[in-house]
Amino acid sequence: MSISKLSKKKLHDEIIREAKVLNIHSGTSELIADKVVEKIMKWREGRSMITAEDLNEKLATELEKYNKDLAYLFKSKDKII
Amino acid sequence: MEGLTPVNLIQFGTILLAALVHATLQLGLGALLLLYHASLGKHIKKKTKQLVSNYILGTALLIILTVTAAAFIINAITSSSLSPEVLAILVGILFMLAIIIWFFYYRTRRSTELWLPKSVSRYISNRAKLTESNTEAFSLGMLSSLAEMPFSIILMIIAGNSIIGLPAELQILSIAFYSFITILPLFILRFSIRRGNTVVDIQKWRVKNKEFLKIMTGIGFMTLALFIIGFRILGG
Repeated sequence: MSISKLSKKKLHDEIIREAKVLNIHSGTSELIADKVVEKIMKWREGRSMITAEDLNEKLATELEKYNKDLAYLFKSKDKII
Repeated sequence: MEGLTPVNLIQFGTILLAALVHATLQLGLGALLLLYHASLGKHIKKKTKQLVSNYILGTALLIILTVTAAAFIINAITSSSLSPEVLAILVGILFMLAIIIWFFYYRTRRSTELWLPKSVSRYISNRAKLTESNTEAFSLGMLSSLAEMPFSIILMIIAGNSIIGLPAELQILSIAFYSFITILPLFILRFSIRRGNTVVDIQKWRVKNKEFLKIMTGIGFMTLALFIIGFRILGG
């Protein structure tokens, strides 16, 4: 599945929501989300189309620097069943 | 209990074995984990608890209905229980399913993605993400039980066949017993999350132990097949 438009807010909210699953403090998750979204938007520049898998993999790579469990959630998306 | 014969004990043994094998199947557990994942991110804990309870209820109800229907249909067609010839066919299917489990149950080595067509697994995942009400959670439980039918229906037929042979007062108890054993892993998952484990901890455990679980499930199918050969076909 490919994504042509990437919404900053949607991405930010998704990271916050996944962080809530892991009981990560809201302040911490906001900080992580801000930094990671910035990195993702920079990575997105110059790419006309990205797949959902590419996005999840990139998110996992960036999130790994801050919280391994949060990164794992994105890495294992659509791979539970 | 008065009136229990060795034959009744064999029937209980068959029901217990079938239930244990059914409990090792992974789709229901995976779907519940997806439900937890989706719900913990959006709802308060009380709401998540209600959704999970309804999911487990939906799973249990479908199992109870299917086992009961199997027992009823077998009794209606045969007036007693399945003949040794039919049991031999079921045994053949059990052996075949054991091999399928060992080689095809999981799609890849690195995750717990199952044999399901991608469209079906995506549908179940999306349903889990969109579950907001207790009714939807209940339906999701029934749906995941239904999706597992290619592997579980044979177990429920065998259990249903054994239930017919029990005294009337034990039949309903046996159906409830089968259902309880089968949904026990869902309670264990629920208890595990309540104790503080996260969905990541549980998913990592599933990935780490999936080979072991796969082997045990296959062995379970084979053991049930051999049990039926030994005690129901050859044992008369």
